Amino acid sequence: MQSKGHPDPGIVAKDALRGIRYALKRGAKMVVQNGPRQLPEQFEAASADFLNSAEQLTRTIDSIATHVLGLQFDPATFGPPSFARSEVTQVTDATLSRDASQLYFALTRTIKYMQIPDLLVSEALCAQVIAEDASGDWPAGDQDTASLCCALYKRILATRILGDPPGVSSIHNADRAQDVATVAFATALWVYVERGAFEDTEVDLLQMCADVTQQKSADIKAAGTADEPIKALFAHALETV
Amino acid sequence: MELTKVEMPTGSNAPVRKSARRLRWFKETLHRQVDAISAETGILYTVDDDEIRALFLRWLKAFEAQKPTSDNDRLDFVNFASGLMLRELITSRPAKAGPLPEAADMSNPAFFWPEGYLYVVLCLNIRAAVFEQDFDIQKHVSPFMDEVRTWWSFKENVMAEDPNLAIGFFDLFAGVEPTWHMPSIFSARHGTHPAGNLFEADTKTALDEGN
Repeated sequence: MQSKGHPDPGIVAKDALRGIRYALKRGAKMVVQNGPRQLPEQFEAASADFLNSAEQLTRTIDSIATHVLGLQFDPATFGPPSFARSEVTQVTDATLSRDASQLYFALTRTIKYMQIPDLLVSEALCAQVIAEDASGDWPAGDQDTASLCCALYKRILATRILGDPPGVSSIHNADRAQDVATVAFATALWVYVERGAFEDTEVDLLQMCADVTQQKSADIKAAGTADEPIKALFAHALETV
Repeated sequence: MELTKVEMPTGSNAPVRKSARRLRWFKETLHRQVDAISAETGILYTVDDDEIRALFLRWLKAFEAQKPTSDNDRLDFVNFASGLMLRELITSRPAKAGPLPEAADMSNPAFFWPEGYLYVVLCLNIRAAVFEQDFDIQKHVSPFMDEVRTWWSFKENVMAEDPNLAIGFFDLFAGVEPTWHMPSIFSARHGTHPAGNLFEADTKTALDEGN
């Protein structure tokens, strides 16, 4: 198991690669959309062709990197992290890595589903949150589900797992804080929501958690990080999903 | 008229009254109702789950905003909440019916308006399950359920004029005195028919048992 604060270098490398992919994709998109208009008219068509080719090349590189490095989302293996199950008591390197990946994908899928632009997730920080859980300073497993959701929600916010890519976001800070809170709430809800009684896939379940959360986004904002209102919101959301 | 029954999910062991406020339960019940009606009529439906999620959350918001505090209102609120659900289903139209069978009898509401029929039957079934569990009352539907003229009026009014009228029509189908003025406001029903059933006296003879 990695020591607290020092996640697996492999996970850190994944974050770095994702950052590069993000920069490549965003850069290519911006250049294709905006570049030709800044050139003299006679160069526009040629440059647009060239830049479209560059964008396709970026997509190809991105696709290869995704497959080779195992960065791709796989709905067949997507599910709640093992720390959400009370019977799991031992955290190994393998479970830590798997849990960090599940938490990462839950956060990124929620961002995508909510159509929030330019909000990145760190898998290394996901791993840090889970490692802290294993180190013992985490709420005990006999707490009610709303309290567990609340603890995870606050941990996601405090660890700054979600953040802007440097220098590119045009979102106002207050709006961004609201985005972060909404994504963290929906994901914490999905982690602990009851399973087994219904036939939905995990992706369906995550979308439901996101919808229920978005309906209460004003209340989540008003609650801030005060435990009792947040727990009450989770208790209601857990009964609604 | 015998309603097309639906086997409601029981996995969470909660009473229907509580389960109906759960998105996953509602979605699965709607899909099961679709399957049951398809098996009976031969009409195949496609269902949009995105619409189901959106309409359910709108319904829940309306439900919570008007939920009464007095025990005296609980019974009629079950009727009202079921009507609210019908309104949201008709507004969102999450189901689309495929082609009708060749020999479809257009005087049968299930063929006259397949989507509307699906929504009404679903809401009546949920209402009946709550009445049975919480109040030990067997609920029956009114003869209007069989009348294609009523269904024609229902479709015309809610599609072309005001979806809120679905609440009044739901009461009509359920055998409750409808409120046509401000049908979407629960307090507007007070004093007119707290839990009344227009057809209570006739249920043993005129209507099918066990619906």
